[in-house]
Amino acid sequence: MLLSVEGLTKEYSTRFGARRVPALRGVSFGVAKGEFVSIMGESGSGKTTLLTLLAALDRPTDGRILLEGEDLAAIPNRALSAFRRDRLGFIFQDCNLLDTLSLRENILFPLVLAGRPREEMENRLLPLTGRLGITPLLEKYPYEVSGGERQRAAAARALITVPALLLADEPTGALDSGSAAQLLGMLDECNADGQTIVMVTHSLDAASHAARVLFLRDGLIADEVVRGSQSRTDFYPCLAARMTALQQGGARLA
Amino acid sequence: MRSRLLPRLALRGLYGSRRLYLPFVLASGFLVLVYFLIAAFVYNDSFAQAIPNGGNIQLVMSVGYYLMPVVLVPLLVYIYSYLLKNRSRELALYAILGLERRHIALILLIENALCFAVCLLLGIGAGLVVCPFAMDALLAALGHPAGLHWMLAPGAVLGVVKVFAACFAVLTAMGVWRAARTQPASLLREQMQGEKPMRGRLPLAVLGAGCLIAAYTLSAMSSTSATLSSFMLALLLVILGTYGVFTGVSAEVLRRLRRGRRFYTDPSEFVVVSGLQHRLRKNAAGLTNICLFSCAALFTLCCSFSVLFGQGAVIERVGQALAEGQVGLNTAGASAADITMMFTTLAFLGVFFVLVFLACTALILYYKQLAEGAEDAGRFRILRAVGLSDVLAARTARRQLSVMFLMPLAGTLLHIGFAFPFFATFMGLISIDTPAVLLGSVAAAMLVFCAFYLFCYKVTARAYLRRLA
Repeated sequence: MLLSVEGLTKEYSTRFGARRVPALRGVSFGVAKGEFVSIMGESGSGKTTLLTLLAALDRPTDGRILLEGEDLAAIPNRALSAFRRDRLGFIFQDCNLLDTLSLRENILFPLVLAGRPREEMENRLLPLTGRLGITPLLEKYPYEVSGGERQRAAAARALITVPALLLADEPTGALDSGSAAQLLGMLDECNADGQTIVMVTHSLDAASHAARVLFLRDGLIADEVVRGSQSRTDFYPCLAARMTALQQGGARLA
Repeated sequence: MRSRLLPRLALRGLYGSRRLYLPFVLASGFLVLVYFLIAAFVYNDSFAQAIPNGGNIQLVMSVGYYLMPVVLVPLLVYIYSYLLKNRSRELALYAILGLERRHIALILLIENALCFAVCLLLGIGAGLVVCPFAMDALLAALGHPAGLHWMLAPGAVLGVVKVFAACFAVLTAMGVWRAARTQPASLLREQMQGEKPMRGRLPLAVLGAGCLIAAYTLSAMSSTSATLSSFMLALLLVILGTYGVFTGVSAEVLRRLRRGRRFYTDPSEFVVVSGLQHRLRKNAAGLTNICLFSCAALFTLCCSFSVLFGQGAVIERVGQALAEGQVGLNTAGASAADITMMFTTLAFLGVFFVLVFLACTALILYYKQLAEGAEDAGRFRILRAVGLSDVLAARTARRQLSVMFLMPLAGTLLHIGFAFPFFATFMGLISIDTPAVLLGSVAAAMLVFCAFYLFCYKVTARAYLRRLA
């Protein structure tokens, strides 16, 4: 397992600590190297909390996260940002590109932080942007390109460090359907090249690109669907049916 | 609309943005205090009984009494516009929630009336305590025993109330006008606007530098041809030049740094340079204003110091002139005691103005830091998410901040340094012309001002860093 999550629990205390609100209540799953896993859930299901913990942006109340056998809890705070930078790649819903930097500078930023030599930067940059189709846009600024192009630049920034795990948080949330399809196609390609991806989404269409879909509900994994040999067009109705069943019969789970 | 809702919203608004209003009320209270002191001097008739020709003290102070409102109104308007800028989201939210413009106007009116009342109470209250000491200090400086009979003159209080009521009326009108003009949707839409590298950097830099050189040349020539109009012209040139240099030169320098080799190899350089390019361009006007306020404060401080340090020599010379039976041009018929009184009172008045300028500079620095922090918070959130460590984030934020806020200080010192000939000519008009005194007082004033500015910068930087965290 590249990533294994064991009994993950996260509670938030209210402002004066009087009440503890559980966001995750013992979540366990594993992701194999080269797998494309999607995590689906309504808002409030604990998706964001799970992703925050996977990204080591917060510490769990209980349970463990192992990335390539290394316990995230064992990494000291000062080494965390380096860990995130070198081992994880992020794609956010709202791109999170810096408007003060050109696309080239945005994409190279993680390498600059890592102190890589200039030649290595250029060697990595062009093949990646060529694949994403944004090479001609490199000198532009984020506000000069379309939403889809911005998101592809954000993907390039996430992939340029060759991360062990790519975390995508609702990557198609702010895109029109054409750009969304393009971005998902690109994720498929990366996955085909061996990139491990965990994507959090509430879009069935986005989730149908994954090989395996976990349904998160009230802080627990309520269901799991494996795509197997189905085509994406076959997988989609299967997912939709599972989700409807979960929503209708879900009262007893809570 | 229930009638009690608006006052409650106003109170909530004040409490909610207490980080904005507390410094504002305290600083306004301080301005009230200073103005009240001036008014108390003007309305205190017992000077004439305590000292021969003591009425002249009132005369000199009344110059300040009438001049100060002219300075106060623009200062307060400028400060308040910063405050409003920091609150614009809240006001937009009110509009979206369905409050009509007149309701928002009423909220602003209630808020400002409260601020007015509080700062007036604070200022006059503190004034009552401080006033006897200030008067004794003036008497002591004049070599008279302390213990002046002093009573609170209703006229002084009335004068202060009138001036500040007018100030707050202007502020409220401004707030209402701003609130009426804002488009709620555009205010709430939180979008960081990026921008291309600026066009015309070099011409702007050259033009700015040209303006500064022209102004400095005017100053250098002032010993032969000083007129009020040449001073005014130099002032205008300095304003334009400072703006041009702050925008043009900084943009050009940053562009070169961005092209340089270190940009891609030094993470902190990468973050700082790209951040500054954006910030400096957006803030050139604000930084120019901080620089100009600082110049006003420092110049007044120089004048006060040189009057305090230099009056001894003048008195000596007048004494000599009287003894020799010849009377100087500027000092005809004046006795040594009279001159001392005039100068000392002038220096006191100068200090009052310095206090006002300094308080305003400090407040503007504070608001600027708050606004900067709010704008940079989003940027640093992204940088952290991409892997900028907290240590590096803090370091780069500090570096960016220090470049931004030390620029006005450097500009101020440079301007005042080059304004020295003007200053010498100016002081020569009142017979203070000993080079040692002039140079000494400028040096002392610069030291005092630097200490004050750096202190304010350190304190207000905390407001910025708190917003980032």
